[in-house]
Amino acid sequence: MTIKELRCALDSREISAAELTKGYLAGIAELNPQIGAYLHVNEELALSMAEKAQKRIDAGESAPLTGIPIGIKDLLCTTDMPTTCASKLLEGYIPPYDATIISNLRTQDTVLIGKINMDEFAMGSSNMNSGYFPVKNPYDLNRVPGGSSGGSAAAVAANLCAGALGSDTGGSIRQPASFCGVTGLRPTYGLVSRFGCVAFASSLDQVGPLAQSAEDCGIILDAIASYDPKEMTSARERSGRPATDSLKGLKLGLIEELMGSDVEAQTKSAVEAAARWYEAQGAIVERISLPMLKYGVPAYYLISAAEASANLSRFDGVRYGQRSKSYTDYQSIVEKTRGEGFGWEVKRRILLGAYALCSGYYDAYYKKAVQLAHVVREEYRKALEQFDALLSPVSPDVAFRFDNAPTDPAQGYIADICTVSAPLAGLPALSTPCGYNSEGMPIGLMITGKRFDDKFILSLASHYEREFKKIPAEVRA
Amino acid sequence: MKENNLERLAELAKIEFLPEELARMENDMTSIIELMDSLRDVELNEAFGEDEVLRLAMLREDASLKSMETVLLVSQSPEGADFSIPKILE
Repeated sequence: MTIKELRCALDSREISAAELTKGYLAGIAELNPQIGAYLHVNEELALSMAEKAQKRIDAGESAPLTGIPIGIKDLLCTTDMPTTCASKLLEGYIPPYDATIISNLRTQDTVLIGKINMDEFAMGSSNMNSGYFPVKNPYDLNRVPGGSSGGSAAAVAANLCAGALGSDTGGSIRQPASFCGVTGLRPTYGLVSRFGCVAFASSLDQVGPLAQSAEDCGIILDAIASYDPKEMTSARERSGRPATDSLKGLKLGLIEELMGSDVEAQTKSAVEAAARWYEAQGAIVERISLPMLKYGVPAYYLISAAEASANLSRFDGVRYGQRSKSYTDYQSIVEKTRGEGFGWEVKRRILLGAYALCSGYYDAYYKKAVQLAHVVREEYRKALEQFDALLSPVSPDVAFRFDNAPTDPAQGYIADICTVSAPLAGLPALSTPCGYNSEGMPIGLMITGKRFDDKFILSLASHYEREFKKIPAEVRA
Repeated sequence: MKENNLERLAELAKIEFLPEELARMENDMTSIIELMDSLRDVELNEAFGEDEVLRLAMLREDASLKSMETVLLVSQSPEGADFSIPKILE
């Protein structure tokens, strides 16, 4: 059921918040051992939240998410559950404060049903980089769910929560949403507070919803998006184009560079079919070239790794989480803790960041990448002056099998080509299911809009979702 | 990437590696840096100001705000009067 349907069921007393929560908890108990979507579930705590929500529903004062079970990506600080970023380094860490968006959800008496697995510190596109265990794709347990919000996407796809929060630095909401056949929105940079969201790359990180539908993503977005004086990039001005009732006359651009020969044929065909559907509804679809997007991957990886190397310096074994037991002095505490605590991908990114920021390399790598991001931003700006929104695939291919994971890290990074550029421009972008390949694996359509046009692109997806025949995942315990 | 360069990077990054890990990381970093090198040849025809380098400046001015009063800070400590810092080094 969608959040909208659950709201009706709760408000009409067809079901109580406790019954609903117990239903999801039973699903988690049955399927999580196979899927691995949750790192932490506290049944007693979830039921106490449901009880509090029920009092509010009974008083006729329910908010849109009152009593709705939502899963939380494990990089959002929660005072009553651990926050580990799926890292051994933060095992057992309980933050002293809630993230602003967690406070926003608590204000509505949302049921925070558990903390969700992810690639360690949000670095990865497969969830194979979790420090605990990998998440599996509910459509095929032999395949990855995508990442880094793969746990959030898998939990929604397997119906282990009504909706979930994820974070997207270079595609970490959209790509797993695409791989798991759900809808996921990366909001405009600055729309949703990141206060209490453990930082990976501060100029790119954004928190957003994953759910069964674009309409549900909109409900979650309304609950979490707020101006936050505690967050320096939180935008005060946030007016954008509202949702649209009609597609007639809208101009949509199909991004040429993301429909090339490196995109798998069935993916390309599903995206083209979606574009034709919009045309049939009266929209005008034309191809548009954004030539600098081909440099999006190195620009994104250099900027994000440079910022990560600075952001993750705080994990020194002194202030947070675990500490190596074999130290001799302060320097060895830091080096050994980080050596033992960080996973391989995190170490790789920190080293890349240190390399890009080194004296002698700074101009050639980091500065060039930032300048290129500016050029990409300008290309998007010009394209979105001509078009109302842009269409493209979310990923060149469907979810890969665990035994077919790229062995060369650069090949894995290149697969992020479709998603990394919108964050460089601070734009909102979403993934909505648009087809299934011959093996039944979901394919996602990406819709990118102007800054603060989040509601508008969600409505474009909603129109499509009403027509698209979705095939739910069937996971059996 | 050469191993001695990698050792220096590891030192900068404050991460201890075992020798066999360094060898594996050397291969990974060589492949990754080859990919990043594709940026070096890109010709950018625009002139860039410092604002393009400091991207975070695009949203809000960096203004200094008043710090929290010490008395107010201390009054919110769990002990009510001061903060106890756990001993780290023996």
